[in-house]
Amino acid sequence: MTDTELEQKILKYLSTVNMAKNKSVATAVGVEKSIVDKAISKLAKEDKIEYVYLGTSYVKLKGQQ
Amino acid sequence: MSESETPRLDQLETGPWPSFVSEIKKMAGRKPAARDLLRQMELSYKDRVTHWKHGGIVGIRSYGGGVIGRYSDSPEQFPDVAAFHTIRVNQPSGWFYSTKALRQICDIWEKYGSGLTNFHGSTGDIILLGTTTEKLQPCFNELSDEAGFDLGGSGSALRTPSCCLGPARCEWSCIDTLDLCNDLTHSFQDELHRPAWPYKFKIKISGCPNDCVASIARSDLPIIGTWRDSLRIDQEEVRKYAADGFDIENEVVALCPTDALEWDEKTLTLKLKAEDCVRCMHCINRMPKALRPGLERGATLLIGGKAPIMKGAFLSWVLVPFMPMTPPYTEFKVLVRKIWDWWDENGKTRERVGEVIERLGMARFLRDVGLKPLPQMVFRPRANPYVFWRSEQK
Amino acid sequence: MAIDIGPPDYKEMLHPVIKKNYGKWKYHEILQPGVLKHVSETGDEVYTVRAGSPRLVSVDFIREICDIADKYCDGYLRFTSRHCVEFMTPDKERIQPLIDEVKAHKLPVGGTGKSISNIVHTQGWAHCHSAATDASGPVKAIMDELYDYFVSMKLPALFRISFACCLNMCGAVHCSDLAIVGVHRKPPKVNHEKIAVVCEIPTTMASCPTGAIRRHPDPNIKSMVINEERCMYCSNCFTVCPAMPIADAEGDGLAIYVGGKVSNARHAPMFSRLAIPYLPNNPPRWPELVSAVKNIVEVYAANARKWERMGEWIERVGWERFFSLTGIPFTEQHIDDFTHAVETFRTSTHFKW
Repeated sequence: MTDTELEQKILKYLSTVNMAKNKSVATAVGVEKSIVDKAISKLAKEDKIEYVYLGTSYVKLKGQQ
Repeated sequence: MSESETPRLDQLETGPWPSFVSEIKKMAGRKPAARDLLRQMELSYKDRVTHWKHGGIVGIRSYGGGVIGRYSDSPEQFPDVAAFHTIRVNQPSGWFYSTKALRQICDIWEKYGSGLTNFHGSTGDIILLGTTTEKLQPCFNELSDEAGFDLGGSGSALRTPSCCLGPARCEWSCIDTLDLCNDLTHSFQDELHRPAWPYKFKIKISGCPNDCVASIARSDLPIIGTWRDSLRIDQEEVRKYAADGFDIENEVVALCPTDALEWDEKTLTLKLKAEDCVRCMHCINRMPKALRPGLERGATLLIGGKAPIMKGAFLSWVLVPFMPMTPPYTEFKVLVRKIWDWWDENGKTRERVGEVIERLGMARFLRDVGLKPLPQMVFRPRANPYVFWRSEQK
Repeated sequence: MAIDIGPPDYKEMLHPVIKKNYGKWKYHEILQPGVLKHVSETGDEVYTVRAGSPRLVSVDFIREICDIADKYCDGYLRFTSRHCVEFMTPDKERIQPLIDEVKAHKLPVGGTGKSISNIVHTQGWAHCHSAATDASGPVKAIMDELYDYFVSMKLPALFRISFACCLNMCGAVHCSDLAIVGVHRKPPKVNHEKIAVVCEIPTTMASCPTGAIRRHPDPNIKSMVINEERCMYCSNCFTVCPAMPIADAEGDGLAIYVGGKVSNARHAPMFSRLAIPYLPNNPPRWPELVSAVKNIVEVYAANARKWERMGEWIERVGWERFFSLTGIPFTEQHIDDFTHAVETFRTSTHFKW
């Protein structure tokens, strides 16, 4: 899987949930968590995802209600 | 004269200790948010409950923390604190500042926020207390681009590392706490700013076992400076203390926890049984002109410290009794990454590393991160007979 | 917009005399309460004046201390881990004018050696959604009462007070000579309408340390119920689920824990332990809390030996003696019933009357 494919897969998964921890994103896309962490960081820097804090930190699609 | 809006809080402006109420009032004339903060606090003082709601938002582009969202539960009554978010700003090592840097922060914060701050928050950050959602980004941009400051950590991330003032103004520091803190903070920006872990992770650095930043209680991974050889004694200076009437026998020798010191009245010599010394710092604290830490210096690393939530508080446990600490700190960085990976893989949501170690066992943790068991890690070995053997050991 | 630039270089924040003597300091003396003298191997000296601060301060306050630092300290200052401000100068002649100026700004000079330094504390009603009490207010009321111990060095040893406005203990106060913690005493109230919208039910159930939260027995109601008998009011569920508010004007208040320390000097670091399980929230000046703290400090001051920290004194004389000397009643709340409780039960016939 290329980086772009992984990022697309992550964004697609996040569009199906309200918010998720990195670990559940990794499980959902079936890729090692450390690689998913890096992809999520990149997506955050590209302003495609944002973070929510509710006792622990979650990621979600930017602007998704 | 009109009646005060805050008769209860006004009572905290009397007395000799400087008053936070007076501080909020200084801003209340210029900042409607500061005035509404006072009014909302007055309501809390009347009905004895908080009037803040959960936050949740983060709000700075590409960051996953550094902002604590906060909303009033009575926005109609206190519209100017309807949204009153906090920004955590990463302090320079050891909380040293030039007035130029501080004034820049003040000017930016007066422009974008309530003008109220904490110097500092519990984790060590500068806390900028209270602004609206739309001011977060421009405020950050100016802090970063103009003043050269960055956000601290929040959420399930590495929290802002902090350290004692170390070699900058203390003769006891066995490691360069300021450089180490600064180096680690810069090395781990992604871990600090984009939370990806089960929960928070704190690193605090003290230069000696006096532990002035309370690292052993307040951090998951305390780094405490220490030495391996013998402490140094200047007998000439010892004699000067004695000549000045300082009671060496009772104030120093009698309080040594391992009975490692002896004061010879005849020869006026302080003798140390170096092999019995546990480097607690008491004698050095009492006689700083005569006694000093040894020269073979490094740090003790510990693991697992935390406050009670959720399975009870822990003091940190000895993990590496002695590690040399010189730039670029590679040995430490390799180990801490292994610890993070282990915790991230095994930890449940909101489980601190100490709790995972308690649940899965220290022996397994040590094995998985590649550390050898050492007697310095325990007060005493187990008393129970419930011993595990792995197949390759049988 | 630059991201991830990290904190500014600390070397730019150091006074030239600090920079020059970095790592070369030889010894120090406390000249008087709040005034330190550090001497370097190079023969250089630096004098420090330490001042108390309310921690919650305005930008005007910061500008005022900057003015002082510009006038006497060549434009540099620092803060301590306990929220004090430190002004440093290599010039001996400047110490007295500097002290005078700090005092003219109504800031106390002290907090060194055998004193009560500033109280490490949290946000309270000024900024926290989970606060069981205010923080800045009780801290101000206590420091007014204990002011004399800040500006003098007459205690047996140093004395560290910390304050957390709920059990989350931002700032981990659990190893202080005297720790004050905001506590709840009533279970959270579950808002069944709101819960499905704002909370994750599995996360919330998992957040309970005693397993007191379970799914609503009616499968048509997507919510949770609390076994109130098992709730010890930690508010951890409220942290992850805003629909379980726990604040309650009558139930909330404060508890006092004593005898903790973090320094390795002499005795190993130790936890603070429960002295008073509940005192009422009585703003604006919390008189019950203030007099309870003062009593404990004074009993310690009158009975401990020189250099003995609170916990070291109590461990020497025994907790039974601590309770009799302070007059604090020992109750069933003092006996631990959480995870490591048995470690605190006495397994010897060594005790006092």
